[in-house]
Amino acid sequence: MINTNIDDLPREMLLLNEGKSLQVISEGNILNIHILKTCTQRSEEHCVLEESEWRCWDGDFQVLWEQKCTNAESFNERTYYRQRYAEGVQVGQSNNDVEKVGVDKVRAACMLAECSSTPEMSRHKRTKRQKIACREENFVGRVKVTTFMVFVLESTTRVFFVSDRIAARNGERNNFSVPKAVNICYTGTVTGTIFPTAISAEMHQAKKRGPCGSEIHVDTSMGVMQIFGNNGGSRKITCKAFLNIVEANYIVRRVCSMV
Amino acid sequence: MLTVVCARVACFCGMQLRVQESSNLVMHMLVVYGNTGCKMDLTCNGNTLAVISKMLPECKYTPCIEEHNIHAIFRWTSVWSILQSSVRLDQAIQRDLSRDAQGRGAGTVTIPTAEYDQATSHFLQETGLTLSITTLGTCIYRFGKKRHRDPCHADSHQQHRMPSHSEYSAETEEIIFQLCRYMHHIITTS
Repeated sequence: MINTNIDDLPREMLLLNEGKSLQVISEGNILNIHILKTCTQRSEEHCVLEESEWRCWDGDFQVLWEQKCTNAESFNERTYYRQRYAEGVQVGQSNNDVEKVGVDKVRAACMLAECSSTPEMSRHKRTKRQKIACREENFVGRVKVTTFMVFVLESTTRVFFVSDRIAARNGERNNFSVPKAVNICYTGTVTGTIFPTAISAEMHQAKKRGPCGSEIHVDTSMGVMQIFGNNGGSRKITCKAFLNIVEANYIVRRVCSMV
Repeated sequence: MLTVVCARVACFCGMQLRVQESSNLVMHMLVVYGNTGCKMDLTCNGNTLAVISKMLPECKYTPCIEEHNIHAIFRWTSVWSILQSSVRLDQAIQRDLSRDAQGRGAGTVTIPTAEYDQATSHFLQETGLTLSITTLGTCIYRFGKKRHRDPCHADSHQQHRMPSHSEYSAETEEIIFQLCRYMHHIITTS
């Protein structure tokens, strides 16, 4: 929740009084955050999350709202509200127009945020007529309201909002995968005189003097083979970045057969 | 002059120099990647450490250090000890593991058995494992040959790999992959 809205939240918030509230409104969503300084001990600190889904219908001279709780203890509990059209600026109309107009779907969340807990919006029992009005052609939209209450120590002076942004960005990479080899390195020895030019002639990309002090460096699609300096007729070889020994053995045999 | 030219031609044709392997390839580092598919609790009191401690032999644990890294490291000096411990696992637990793995679509997890030849067991005894787990579930298994300090150069901090007298084959490698899948399953279900 914090991750999703981190760009809209302040990084730091001073808590000079008994608490502070924040509201983040986006299309179809309202997030309320209440920080309350009520705890006398650190161990008392806790948080409460409340979620509800609001649906809105544009009725005759009024807007009807249905609040459906999605919390476990009051799951699916429905409450109805009636919102009067107030004079002045309304959703979906210009400043000069005071006539009732239909509710703008995009701004349903804004309207709910503005009118909830005001005299404009009153709780009531749904009448039969209103029940009929709550049909699909009158449906305006739905708003998800999330209220997050954080109870903190009385002595708290500020709150910081931080987000695990890396986790949020990499979410899609967090899929289960069976372990697979990604890099295997092998060591071995070869004997005999090696002509680097012979390898180059056949493999094109083989270089003399590779990294890590190797004398010959052979790059293949299966991995890299390095041949080191002559040590009493024997040369150390390393096969790096292979995925299995079968492929590494194949490359060693292939290179040996070339020279 | 003619002899020199002939020799050169022979070199390019790969006929006379007879370069050949004098010792088989032996793995000295093997890296395996997997993802648990879930975020991991890597704290000192966390579930991952508890499960690893319970299901796998003793290891050296380095926790995540906030602001420094986001991965915890588990080190085993010998993968042989892990194989031995897996064999000691109760048969019922092993059956549960395999069944659960199939349920997750991870294929069958074959529990490694204890029947290995001497060369393989010697190689596995001399192979260590460093497992890095990130909070996002990324697991990097790094198998490597043990390093030992040279007693003659104890002060110089010179380290040498143990001379390997053991055979390494595709079968040995498969045992390592199998062990990896087994461990990954334990970690994933933690």
